[in-house]
Amino acid sequence: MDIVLALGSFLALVATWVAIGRRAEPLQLVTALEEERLDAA
Amino acid sequence: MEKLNAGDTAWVLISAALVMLMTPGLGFFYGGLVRQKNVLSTLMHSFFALCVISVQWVLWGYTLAFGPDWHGVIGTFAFLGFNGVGAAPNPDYAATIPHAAFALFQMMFAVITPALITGAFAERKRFAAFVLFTILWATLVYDPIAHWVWGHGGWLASLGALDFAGGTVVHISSGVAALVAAWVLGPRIGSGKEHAPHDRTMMLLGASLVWFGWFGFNAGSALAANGLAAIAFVNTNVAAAMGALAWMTIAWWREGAPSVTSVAAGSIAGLIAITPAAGYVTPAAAILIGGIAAVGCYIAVRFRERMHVDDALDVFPVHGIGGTIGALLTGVFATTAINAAGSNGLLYGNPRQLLIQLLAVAVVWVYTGVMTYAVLKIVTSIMPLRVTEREEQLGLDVSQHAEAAYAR
Repeated sequence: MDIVLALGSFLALVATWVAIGRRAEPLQLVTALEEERLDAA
Repeated sequence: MEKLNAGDTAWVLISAALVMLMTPGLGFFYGGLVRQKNVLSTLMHSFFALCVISVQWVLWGYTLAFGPDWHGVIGTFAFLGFNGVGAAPNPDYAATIPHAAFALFQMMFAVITPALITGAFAERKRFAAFVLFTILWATLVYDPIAHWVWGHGGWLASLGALDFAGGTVVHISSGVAALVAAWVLGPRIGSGKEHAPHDRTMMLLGASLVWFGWFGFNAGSALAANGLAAIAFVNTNVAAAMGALAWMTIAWWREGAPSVTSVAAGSIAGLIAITPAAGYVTPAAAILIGGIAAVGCYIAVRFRERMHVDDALDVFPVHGIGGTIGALLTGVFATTAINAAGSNGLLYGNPRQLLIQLLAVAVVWVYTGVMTYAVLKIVTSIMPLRVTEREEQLGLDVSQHAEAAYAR
């Protein structure tokens, strides 16, 4: 039973990563200010 | 029940810890070689591989690689979730240590192999795509190859292929996968121009940690605290040293300076090449293997630079070619005077061993190449492999992880 739960938990994590990976726009994490700073650097 | 040996158990557990250290060490080695804006993402690739493969290995990786054999091709599900992998030994693999210690030691090999590939796609791969690639690649490429070469009943093991600690399983597989991944991803923006390493002190620290951990990798593969472990330890150190000396000499002669980068790269080349041979050859042969590998890898790096494949940190020329040189030279220098459980090589009157090594190398090259391409296509069908051009310009640290490595 513990193996089934562990396997299920891990597969749920993988599914979450895939869902985030398909949806995410990582650049949104970067504020305009940071962009300016990085461009200037 | 087989009798446990305290010394053997302690040595294998410590070796597992040494091999574990290699993966963050590799992160520092790679991290020093990339540009400042990508150092965190590069470190993250190695650290994340440590986390995700540790879980994958317990759940299904170990049983696919070392579970009861199915036609020499793959392990069956008897050890799913480490079921039955406990304190008692498994005499198929190591009769004097707990089965759990053996499985843990092997886990660290499974961890570092996909981490090695990350150097090829550094500075441009989306993190989410890396995550999915790593899980699929470990399951579909690493686990079957580990079974063929090291699994009880694996078909290459049954043929007599020698791979003491992972020349084919770890280094050829990661090196060939790196070449395919770099080709599929395409070059970095500005590839061909100078992408200077941002911190060579970090690079050398990483190389030192990797060298240190490699003692567990190779000497631990004796799976006992015995004379064979001592010989593998000596061979590992001397091959790394000779590799560093040879690469530095070529760089000094050809490029005008004995660079720090050259001794680091040379030591890694020597370590890679001695890996399949460490428990089968004499220390004198280890010196030759380290030196030959450094020359071969140096030539491969120069050749790679002329190719239109941006293998960012030269994973293929060093791991792929170094692993191939080591696997083939094992078929030349192996002697049963060092390891009675091994075979004699070409120099000791057994040319057939070289042919077996050649077959194992060819099979792992082809299987890894085809399957890595397939895995990348699967990932591409689900999400983009690469970051956008803007994200690449900003750097992966900020665009993928919302962090910067250094305060400004």
